[in-house]
Amino acid sequence: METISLGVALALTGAALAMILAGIGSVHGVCKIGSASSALLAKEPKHFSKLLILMLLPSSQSIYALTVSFMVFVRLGLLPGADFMPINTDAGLAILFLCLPVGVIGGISASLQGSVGVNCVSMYAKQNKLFGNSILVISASEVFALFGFLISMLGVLFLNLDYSLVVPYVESAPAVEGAVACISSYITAVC
Amino acid sequence: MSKLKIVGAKDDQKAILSLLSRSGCFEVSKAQKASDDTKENSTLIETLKNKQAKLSVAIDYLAKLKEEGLNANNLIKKGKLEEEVFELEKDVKTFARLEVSYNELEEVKKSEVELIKICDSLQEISFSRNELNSSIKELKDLKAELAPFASVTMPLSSVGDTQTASVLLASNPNLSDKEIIEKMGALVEEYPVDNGALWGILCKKDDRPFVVRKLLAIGFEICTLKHEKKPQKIIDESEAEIANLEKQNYAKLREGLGYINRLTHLKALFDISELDLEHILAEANFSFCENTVTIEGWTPFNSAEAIKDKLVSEIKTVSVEIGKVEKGDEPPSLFVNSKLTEPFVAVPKGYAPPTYGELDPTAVMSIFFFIFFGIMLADAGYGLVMAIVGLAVGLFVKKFEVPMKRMILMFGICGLSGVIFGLLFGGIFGIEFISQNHYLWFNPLEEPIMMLALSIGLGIAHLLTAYTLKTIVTIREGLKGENKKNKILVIFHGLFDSLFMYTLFAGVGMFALSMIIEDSNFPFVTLFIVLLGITVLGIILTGGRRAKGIGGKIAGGLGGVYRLINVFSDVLSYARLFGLAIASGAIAMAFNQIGSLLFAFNIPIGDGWLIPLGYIIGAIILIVLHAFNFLLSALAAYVHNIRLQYVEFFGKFYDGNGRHFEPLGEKTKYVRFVER
Repeated sequence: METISLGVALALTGAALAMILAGIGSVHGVCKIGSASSALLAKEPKHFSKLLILMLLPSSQSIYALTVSFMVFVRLGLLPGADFMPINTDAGLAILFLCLPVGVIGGISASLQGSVGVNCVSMYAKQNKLFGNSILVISASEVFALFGFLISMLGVLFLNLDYSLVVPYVESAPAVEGAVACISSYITAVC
Repeated sequence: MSKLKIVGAKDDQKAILSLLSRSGCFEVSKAQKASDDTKENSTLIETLKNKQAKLSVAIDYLAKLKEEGLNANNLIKKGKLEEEVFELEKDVKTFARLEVSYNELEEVKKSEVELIKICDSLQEISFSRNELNSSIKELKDLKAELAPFASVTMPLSSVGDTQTASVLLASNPNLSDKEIIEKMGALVEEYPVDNGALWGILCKKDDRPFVVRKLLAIGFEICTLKHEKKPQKIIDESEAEIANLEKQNYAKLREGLGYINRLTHLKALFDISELDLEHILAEANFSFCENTVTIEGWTPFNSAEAIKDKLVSEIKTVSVEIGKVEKGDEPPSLFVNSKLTEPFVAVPKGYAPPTYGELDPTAVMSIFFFIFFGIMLADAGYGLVMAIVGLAVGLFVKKFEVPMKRMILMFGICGLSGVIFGLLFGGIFGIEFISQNHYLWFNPLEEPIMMLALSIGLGIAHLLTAYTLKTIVTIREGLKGENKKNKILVIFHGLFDSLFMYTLFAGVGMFALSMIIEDSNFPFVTLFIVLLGITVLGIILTGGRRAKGIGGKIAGGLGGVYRLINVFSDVLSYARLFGLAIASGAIAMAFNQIGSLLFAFNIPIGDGWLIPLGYIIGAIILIVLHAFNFLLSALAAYVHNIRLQYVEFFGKFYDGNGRHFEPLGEKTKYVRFVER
């Protein structure tokens, strides 16, 4: 492996961050529902298998983050047998930010999903018939994590890393120069 | 379901009901307006419940006695207890209710009085054993209190104060320094004792509170006992008494355990009362005339005739009418499946019982369940273990009840799926075959994009199946209705439920193809745009077809387009197949690396020989780690599979507003009554 560039480090930070944030959320969510379920389990142990399903629902978000992080590894060529891709700082930064949707939204949604799950456990305790509904209710908040996942995934998958290699790193961003030129021409026109 | 209407003489009601519960496939239908419990019935219910309470106390107590007996047997074996061995068989672990035949049931009924007497004597035994135990405990406490002062050779009551001086007996096994006490201005005398120092302390009467406080502060125990006898004598006496009481206690235990062979009968009697209770509660749904009773209920098609024949042949004065489900009835639902898909019934059952006559999703679902499980497990080794254990236990071990058996079989079958996909992906206990390409199809770790595409593709297939089923359900329901003129309309209704999903995914497929096949003249992108246009337009036009009024129709159409977002999130949700597949594979690989590190630590003993310590430890650790990963990935595969079925699949077409078929005579606690 060649030496790690700042870009690679940034991209890996993104991968780690996605996993960390989503993981924290999932842990929080699963634990919340878990402790609510154990109260019910103490009374009626026969519900174990169903409560287990409720309990593990907030783990989806970590799976999404895991997938994105893994994709970052794939794009960087870190897996055995692949060609290492020493990306530059811009590309690294882009990947870092692309990892955030799945991490942040995933983490928050998993954690809040836990709160919904706690209520669903008590709903299930009152009416065992409503198990299917309670799963749907809990899953509702996951849609947004999925959106985050979609953006992160598509971005990480389709970001053209070769292009960012070809374009040399420029000190002053062209956009800023353009904006300055634009404003100055506007000012001259007004004057 | 067939509707059974049974009319018989009131006197035969009991016989009819017991025959019905014996058939195991008759559910009493709920009457529109259930009659109130009569006074007679409520007293009956109360008596039965009291009887059950009594029986269940006795059953629990017998189980406790058995445990104590087994413990005592262990002590006897080790020579710590001088008693005769209790004749007890060790419990065989079973996961099913005991099976009791109907002949035995009659016998148990006959011996009811005797069994209730047994309950009473067990209660007496329990009371007297409690008394014995508390006396034993009192004596033991006394012994423990006296132990430090055992060597005092006079009665403790004779240790007392004089007019000006105070005498204390104190003990502290951790301290043997006289000076500390002498500094308090007291005279000290030390008595040699086995378990530490015993001190006699003489101080001024006025100083007593001060000395006592000081002594307690440095950990002394001060004797406050005032027994008339010498301590040692009391200890000896209580020891003899304890031995005596314990002997009595064991005698009582033996007496109680004498009833252990009646435990099954007690349990059977409990459940007989349960059946009686069920019959009495069912009575509220019967209708009565002066001398006749009418019982209505549900039974599966294939057992209706059998029940009728049995009733008519055994009870002469009864009429049985077999009817069909009519409009307005609410029959229960029973899953009927082939042997292969039956193990998967638990999945839709756990979601919600289907409305009567609703499409049973088990067969279609089980195919996807099977495939998804294999992909998420993605390891032939784990799959093989699971298949062997699951199939062997599920097919040959008899001591499980039906639902449990189905579950185990389901895991066994899914294990086979794990084997298939493990071989396709080249995963066997996570051993790295990357360099050798030992896979039949492709390696997910090497070609993750392919794996992701596979997951999403299967997801789309799953979703399209769900939408197609929705079409089938709509058409089926529509054709069932009265209004037969609108057949074509119904078919269109159904088609519109899934048609635009097909165009949508076809369009997405075109887009994907345009990216894969680069230099092609085929107008993929144009087709994509056209198909997407058709989808959106179609949904806008048809989405609100069920709504009333122009406003409703427009809102429905736009809402339908908005819901396309949900379709995308549904599709993405299948990325979990990918995530879990690589997770279980990658973790297994990591564990293998830990194991192979340990393999290096062998001890060479010359001549090229070595003690394979590293191999042994490494193998043990590998087994533990792989067992852990196996359990974790199997659990994740199961839970996320179920989630995909419940949320993404069933949500599209499955109503689940029914209730399960609950025949008479199934709700027993300890035993299951069977024909033999």
